[in-house]
Amino acid sequence: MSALSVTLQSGARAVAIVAMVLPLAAAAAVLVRERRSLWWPLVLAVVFVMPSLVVAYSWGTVSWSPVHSPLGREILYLILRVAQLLPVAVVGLLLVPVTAADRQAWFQLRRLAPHAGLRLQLRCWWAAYARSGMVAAGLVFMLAFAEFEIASLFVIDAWAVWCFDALATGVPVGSVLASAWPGMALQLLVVIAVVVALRRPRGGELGYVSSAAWLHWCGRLAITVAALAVVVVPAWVVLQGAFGSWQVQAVGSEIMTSMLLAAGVSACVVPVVAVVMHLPSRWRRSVTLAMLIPGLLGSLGIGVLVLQGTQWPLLRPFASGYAPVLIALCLVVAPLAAVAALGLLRMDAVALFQHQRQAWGQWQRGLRLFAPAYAAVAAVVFVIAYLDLPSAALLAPLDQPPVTARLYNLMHYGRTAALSSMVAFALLPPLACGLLGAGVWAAWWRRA
Amino acid sequence: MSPSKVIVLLAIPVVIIAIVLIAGWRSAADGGQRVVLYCAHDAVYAEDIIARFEKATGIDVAVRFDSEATKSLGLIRRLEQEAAAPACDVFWNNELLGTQDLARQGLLAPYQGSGWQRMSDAFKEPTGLWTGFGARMRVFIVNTEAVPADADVAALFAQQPQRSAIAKPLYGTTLTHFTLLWRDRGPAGVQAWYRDLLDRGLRVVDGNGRSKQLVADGALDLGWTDTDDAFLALDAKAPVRMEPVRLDDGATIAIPNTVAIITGAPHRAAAEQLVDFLLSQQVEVALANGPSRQVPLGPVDPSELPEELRPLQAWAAEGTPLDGLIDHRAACIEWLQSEYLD
Repeated sequence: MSALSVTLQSGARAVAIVAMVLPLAAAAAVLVRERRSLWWPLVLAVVFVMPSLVVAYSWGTVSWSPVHSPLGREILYLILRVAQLLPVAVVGLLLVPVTAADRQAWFQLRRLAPHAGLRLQLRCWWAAYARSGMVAAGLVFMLAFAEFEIASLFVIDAWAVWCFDALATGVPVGSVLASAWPGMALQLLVVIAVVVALRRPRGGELGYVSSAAWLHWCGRLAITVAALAVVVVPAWVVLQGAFGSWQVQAVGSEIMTSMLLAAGVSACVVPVVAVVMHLPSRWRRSVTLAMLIPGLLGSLGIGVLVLQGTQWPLLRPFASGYAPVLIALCLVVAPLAAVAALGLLRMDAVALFQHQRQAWGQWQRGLRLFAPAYAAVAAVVFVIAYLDLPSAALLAPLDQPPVTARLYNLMHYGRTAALSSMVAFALLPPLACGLLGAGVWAAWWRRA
Repeated sequence: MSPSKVIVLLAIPVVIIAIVLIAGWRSAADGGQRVVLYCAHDAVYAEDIIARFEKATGIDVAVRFDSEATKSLGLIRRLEQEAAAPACDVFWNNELLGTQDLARQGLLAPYQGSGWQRMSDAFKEPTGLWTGFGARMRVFIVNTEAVPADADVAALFAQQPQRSAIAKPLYGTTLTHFTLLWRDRGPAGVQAWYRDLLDRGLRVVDGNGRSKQLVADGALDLGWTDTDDAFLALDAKAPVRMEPVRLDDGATIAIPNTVAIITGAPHRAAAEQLVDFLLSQQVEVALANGPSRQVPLGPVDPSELPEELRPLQAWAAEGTPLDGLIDHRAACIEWLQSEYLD
């Protein structure tokens, strides 16, 4: 399968995932937005932090034969990715505030001037619905397109797996990058679209029209099914039998290594994102785009490039420590960190305060306003960095493998009680961090 | 945001990266009595062996294990990239062809120590560039509830590929297996055979472990895997048995671990000690008695070997020679790249 055809196939699959996840996410977003309960954001946070390798491992051990046919694998893969990406889509929809004025404008336009000019119709439709939908669709598309772990385990023809196979069979990095450009170009286009859609709204009265109760039920159903597919079933499969065989010491040092790395990545990325977000708008967009571009290579591509970079004579003395993996993980998480920060700072709660220009110049007030948003970004960065597999496995220092690589290798031998207990302990830090981030953000947002 | 706050915020990542850079430089400059081992053999099997070496010699072994996630990319690509300034002393590979490829690139240094002398000529490079030890066999893993004991497993594999699994042949021991078929049947023969199996529904999975699991769980009837995976299923009391995969001439496939010293190894003396240790009878016996039940290739006391290893020793004795495969491997990979990447 050529690079172009696998790009088209992955693109079509990502579009299918977007098409499936958006209606579900719309209902879930309505539920989260209007109920203002902490419960549903927390469930979504747990779905988000469940590592792909655990999901893939647990569903890959299903012994029902049709699941392992090419069609069965493809269907299961789509279902799992839709469930996994539901929280991302929900956050994407919530990132861009839709004002009551926008909704009213669209409603009144259709009622009073159904034959208005196309440009006016498009402008109202964009403000009322399409803008937030594009942000959510773009985020889901990027993550669906570049996914590696489950696609690899399910032997799905995907762009990231194609890149991995090319590198693993000895094709030079330059040739792989040259062949993989359609995929990177496609992702870049989507990134630009998301950044454009995330531009600050023009203000207006904030508020929402209350939705029908059936939409709330649809939202509850979507989140519950996603949690079942991505959290409950994998947790049950992996953890069954773990009780009574706790062996945290077997991966204790790996968990510490991964926590240290993830904390370091958060400490490096979040301050940079904070600075970028407060640049003048023309600079902010350019710098944000520049931050996003390396991430288009994916974790494995970045890992290989950094590995090559450490062979330059000047950098060789530093190759054996944490620096290569730290730098690689910063590049891996930068796109999502930038998009998350852009979005969080554009949310309605912040938009309210943006009228108070003096807040930007007052450190304490600014900190009070924006610290919860950056805490949420730091939590997202920590979780992604902690759970990264390809870059961390390639670049980790000698004798200090990340916990994901260790668990992934152990999963190769099948389910055991000891492995299950290790997985349970390894999941605690990202779970705690994800819940903390979601809790801080939800409490701040509800109060606002 | 004022310039001073920007400076404070940007100083945080700069300081963190500076600290880890300095820490990495100090760790690289740290001399000490140690040896750096790149180990493609599974960590769960190798860690005990390495600990024994450290205890016996007092030499600290810094290990970089391969990852299932990055396959051979992790270590072989890394060794190639580090050629100009090697960080690794010893490479313990869990198969042969990748090691032969490194030898052809001039990345391995000859060493004819006590371990090299202990092994038979069939499993070592004549000048000492690499030496084989502790082999795995390529086997069919068969679900005993689905396949009768007297069934011809190879014929069943050919007749019902839709009920059979193999690992993606781009890497690992399945690539070695395909390379041997390439040698024996020629390009046209292998390509037609594989295309036919795929057309009739052969299940290609992500690794030998998955192939084993699907058969053990009863999702499929049989599959190709290695003996270490098959023994995991047997130890878990899964309803499976194993039979050797035989090539067209009836020969079996025994794939040894290989160990080699890297050209320009920074800790050569310690590296030689580690290589001799890995090729010792003590280590081969330990690997034979471990969960992976690897077949010793050097002389060992038979009374120290587990009972279930006896048939494997007989199968290993019928193993096909693995020399002269590098060109076939390159051609086979080129074809597989065209199958999966073009």
